[in-house]
Amino acid sequence: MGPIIVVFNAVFDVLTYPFSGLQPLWGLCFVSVICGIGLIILFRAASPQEAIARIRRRMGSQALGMLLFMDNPSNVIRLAGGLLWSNFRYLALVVKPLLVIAIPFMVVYSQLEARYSRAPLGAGQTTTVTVEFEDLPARDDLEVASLSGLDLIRPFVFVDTLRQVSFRAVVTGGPPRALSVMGSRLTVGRSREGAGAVHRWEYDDSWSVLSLLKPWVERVRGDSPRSPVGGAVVLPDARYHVLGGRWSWLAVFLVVSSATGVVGAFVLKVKI
Amino acid sequence: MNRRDFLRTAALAPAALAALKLGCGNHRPAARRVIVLGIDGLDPQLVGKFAREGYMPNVSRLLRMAQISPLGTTIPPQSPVAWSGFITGRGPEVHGIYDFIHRDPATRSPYLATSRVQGTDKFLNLGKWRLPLSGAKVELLRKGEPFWTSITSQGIPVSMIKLPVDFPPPEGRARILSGLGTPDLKGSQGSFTFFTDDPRSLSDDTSGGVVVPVRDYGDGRYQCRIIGPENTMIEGNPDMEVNADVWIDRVSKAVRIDVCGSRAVLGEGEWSPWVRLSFDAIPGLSSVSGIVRFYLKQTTPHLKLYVTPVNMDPADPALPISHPDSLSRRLAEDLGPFYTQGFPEDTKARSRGILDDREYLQQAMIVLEERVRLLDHQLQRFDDGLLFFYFSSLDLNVHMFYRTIDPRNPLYETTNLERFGTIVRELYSKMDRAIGMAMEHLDERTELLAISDHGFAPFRRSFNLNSWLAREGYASLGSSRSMGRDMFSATDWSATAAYGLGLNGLYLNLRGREEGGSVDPSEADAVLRRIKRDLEAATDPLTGRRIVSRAYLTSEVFGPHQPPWAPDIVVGYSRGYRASWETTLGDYPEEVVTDNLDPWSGTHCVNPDVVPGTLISTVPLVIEDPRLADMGRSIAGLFEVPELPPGGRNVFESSG
Repeated sequence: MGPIIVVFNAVFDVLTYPFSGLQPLWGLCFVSVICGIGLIILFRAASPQEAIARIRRRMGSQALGMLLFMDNPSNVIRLAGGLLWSNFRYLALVVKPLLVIAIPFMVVYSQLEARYSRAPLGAGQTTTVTVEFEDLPARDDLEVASLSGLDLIRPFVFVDTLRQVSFRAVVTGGPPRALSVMGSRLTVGRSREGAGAVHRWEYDDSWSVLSLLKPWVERVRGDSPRSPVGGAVVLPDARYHVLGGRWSWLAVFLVVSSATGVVGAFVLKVKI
Repeated sequence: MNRRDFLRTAALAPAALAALKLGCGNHRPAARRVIVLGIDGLDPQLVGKFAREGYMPNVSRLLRMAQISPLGTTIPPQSPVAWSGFITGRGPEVHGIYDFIHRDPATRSPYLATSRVQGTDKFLNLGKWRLPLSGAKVELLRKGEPFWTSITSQGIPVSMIKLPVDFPPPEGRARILSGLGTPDLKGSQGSFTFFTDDPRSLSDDTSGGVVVPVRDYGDGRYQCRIIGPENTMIEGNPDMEVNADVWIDRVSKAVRIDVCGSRAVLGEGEWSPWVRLSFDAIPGLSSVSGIVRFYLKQTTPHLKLYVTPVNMDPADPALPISHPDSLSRRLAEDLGPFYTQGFPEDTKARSRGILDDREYLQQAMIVLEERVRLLDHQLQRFDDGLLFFYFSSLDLNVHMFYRTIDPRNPLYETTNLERFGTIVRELYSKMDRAIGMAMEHLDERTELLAISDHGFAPFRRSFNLNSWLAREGYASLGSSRSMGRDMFSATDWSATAAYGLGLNGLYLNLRGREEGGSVDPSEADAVLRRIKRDLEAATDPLTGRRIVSRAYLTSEVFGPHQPPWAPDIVVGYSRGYRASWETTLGDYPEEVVTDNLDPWSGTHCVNPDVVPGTLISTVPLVIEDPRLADMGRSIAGLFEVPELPPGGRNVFESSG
């Protein structure tokens, strides 16, 4: 699974690379447009286009029939029943293609969540870092140091009940911004410009499908039993200026990709 | 130059320059840009003193090309009244603001004079849920036409940033961010929360905030409930709340605060950055956003955690705090969250001993730094028109630290003067730096004005107006045991002729206006004149000095027809005296005059002649006695608009 994740990360790195010098909104819109086109093409390939066209024509005629025979209640009831049944048949026809496109959608969702849901930390900004251990080290044994782009601020708060240590880090440069905790390297925020923002760490010695869907989680690499087993960093939510509002990345993605999908369906003559 | 010389020069300079201007017959070109700094509480005597001593170098430099003059304030010299006069050019008889606090004549219960929030009464009931069918109504109670409408009508841009007495900002062409008078998220003027497991800190006093007991259940976690606004979507309007998990580390003397998906680490003596809170009205569907800062006062032996009042989130305000709505959002995006409540300095927490002088000052400096960043942001983007920018910091901090420059204040001896003895001077220096920032944007077509609504006087002795009225036979108490209770609970209204409420207000218990009023309208004038005479003769038994310099009959000062919420007498206290805090709430303490033992040691709620404001202007003055209410018309005149606002005089043009 590891190489697949690397490939996905690389594909999205390439897609967003031309926009790395611009506001993140542009990269997000571009990816949303590509996804809208891709998903509509995938929908066409996975769906019975002829059957959908037929059922849509039938639904149209049933609706028209109801309008024409408004003075005949028995006909209206019969046509309404037929329309309801046609709706069920239409939904049955689109279930399969929707399930097919749900798989790439989840991957896209994860990548975009990692890249666009959190605002990057600027120089001078402070964040709170929490590291979790299997066994909380003694205070004198705790080894935490900045590797790049960060200064650590004392005090360190030991939460015995949760086996966690929390502290503040102020951004001084980077990316990359990284810490060493008991010998393990932990990335804070974006590992490099354009890449996903790491805001959780988990200790995991095996790759799985779930790893594919959580690109914002960094796998802790540490062989020592003293290594952290997890943690998190607080990154601010990102909001985007669109039409005078402050939109979440998901709202931008859904609106732009849906609009692209509708236009794409019209141009490519896809029955949806 | 000593103080007397300075004031003499300040007084003579306008006339001299006016003569020079008339003699030369020159005419200044219409200003392209006017910057107005509204510095609440800037005292002309203190400005002169600190400028002479070299602590206000920018003002000294500015005075080489500008004038300084005392600026007449209003009756009473309270900020809401004075700034309403600035906005409208008129007095309370037009703008309707007579005091910080007005009272409902029917119930005698006080309410905030400047704005009112009314919830909707149309709901769709779904079990315990009530879905509102219309929005809540927020009403600005200040009336009158703002002076800037004559400027914006000419297409000249106007920005009024942190404008007092303008919540909610009215529709119009001006960009407005509300200042003084803007409530916190709970609708109060600022209500802090103090979490502690120290039983000695607990108190029934809820003025300015609440002390909430918490406990550690053994796992190092305190569950702290932060109370938000009322949830009008549930029957009974229960308070909305969020839970903050506070994990304590007594070895490190620090805490971790987990709240609303956010996490903050704080050591003792540290302030957190702004933390966003989301109060759920209907979980998953509707929420209200607020912002707070935490201050960790102590971890051991007891937790003491202070939380600021929940401010409206400027990025997502629950009520309109700016016009257009997007203004506060854009400022929040550029600058991050900032204090939106009108009284951002938490003076109540200091007065109640929740914060000490050092801690209060830290919080006040956070406010000031935010405000200076906001000023810089606005100045950098100011191309054309009028920019008004308001500072509250000087006013509120001088209120709290006047005792450091007043050796006759009862708290002077116990204040740490080594540490805080120069704080008033430092505050003036900080205002000087703000003036310097504005000066950097001066050019040949830019004018700069710095104005204040009033100056300052010492507040050494508290006058219990209601107790005095009772002693003089104008008020009657049911029994002496009733004394000391708030809100007139002790009063026998059938035998009471007058009562005090608010900072300067005195009201007749007038039949037909007040519920259960005892004074017949035909006797009202005579009773009022008797009270006025007796008030002006009242002396302090300790010093023998007159307590009230002048009592103003409202009907004489503002005209015979006043609205029912207007006081009948505005009490102009002598220097050193002010209405006690108990008076503002309708209480009857046993003594009539007491020492003021509150850190709130400076005041301006006295006779207006004692506390004029300050005007520093790069435009020469042609009037010797400028008043704050003249400034709107004068500013509009700088843009040579065809029709000047009706109120006030143009202090820059001899034709007025």
